Amino acid sequence: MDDDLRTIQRVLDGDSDAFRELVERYQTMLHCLIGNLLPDRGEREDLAQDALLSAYMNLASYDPREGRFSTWLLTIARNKCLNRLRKRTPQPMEPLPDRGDLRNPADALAETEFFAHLDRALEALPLDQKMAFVLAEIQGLSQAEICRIEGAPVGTVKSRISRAKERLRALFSDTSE
Amino acid sequence: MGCEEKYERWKRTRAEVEVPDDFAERVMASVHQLPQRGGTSLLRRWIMAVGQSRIVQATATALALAVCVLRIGGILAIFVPR
Repeated sequence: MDDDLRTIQRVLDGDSDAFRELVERYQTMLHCLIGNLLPDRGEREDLAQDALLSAYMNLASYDPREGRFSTWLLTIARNKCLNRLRKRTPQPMEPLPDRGDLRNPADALAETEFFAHLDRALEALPLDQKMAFVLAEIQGLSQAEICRIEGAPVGTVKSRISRAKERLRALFSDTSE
Repeated sequence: MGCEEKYERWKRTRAEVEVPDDFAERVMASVHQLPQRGGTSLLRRWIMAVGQSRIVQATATALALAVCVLRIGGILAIFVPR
C-alpha cells in the first residue's frame, strides 16, 4: 500500500487532519494545472480549494484500481475548470500573436517577449488542446494518465497534444529558416 | 540561446507556480467546517467493496429483475380464470 492509500485510509477512519498530508503533497500540482487554464490568481486558489474539498467529501469513492490518487484529483480539478470556463461568456477565438518580431530573435527578441508570445499562443489554443498540452508538456504526465483524466482515447489525446505543439512551434519555426 | 531552448525554458517557467503559504491551512479550515465523517464502519466498507464488484452488480440486477417479473406475474394472475 503506498503513502497515498495509507493516508486516505486514515482520513476514511475519521482522522480528518491526515488530509493535510494529501493537500501538501498535491497543492503545487493542482495550482499548476489550474493556473495554466485560469490565469486569474484568486480564481485559481478558489478552484484548487474547491477541488480538494470535493476530493475530501468523495474520498470513499476513490478506487485505486482506476488509477493513482493524483490522477483522480486532477480529474476533479479538470472538471471544475471546464465547468468554470463553460459558465463564462464565450470569447471569440484570439488569433495567434503576430510573429513578425520573432524573425530575428538574436537581435530583436528579449526572452521575456518570447515568453509573452508563447503565453498568448497558449491562451489562444482551443480548450481541449490546451488541457492536453498542459498535462503532457508542462506537468509531464503520461499519455495513459491524460486519457484517464480527459476520458478520451489515446489517439485523440495524442492528436490534441501534437496540434497544440504544432501551433506553438509555428511561432518560432520560421525564425530558423 | 536558440528558440528551442527558450521554448523548453518557457515550459519550465509555466510549471513553476507559487502556492500561498497558508493555502493548506485554509483548505483544512474548510475541511473542519464540514460534518465529520466519524470513520467508515466495517459493514459499510464491506458493502462498498462488494458493491464495486461487477459480478455482484450483475447478480443484484438479475435478482431485482426476477422479483419484478414475479410481481408482475402475480398481478396478471389475478385476471387469469382458473
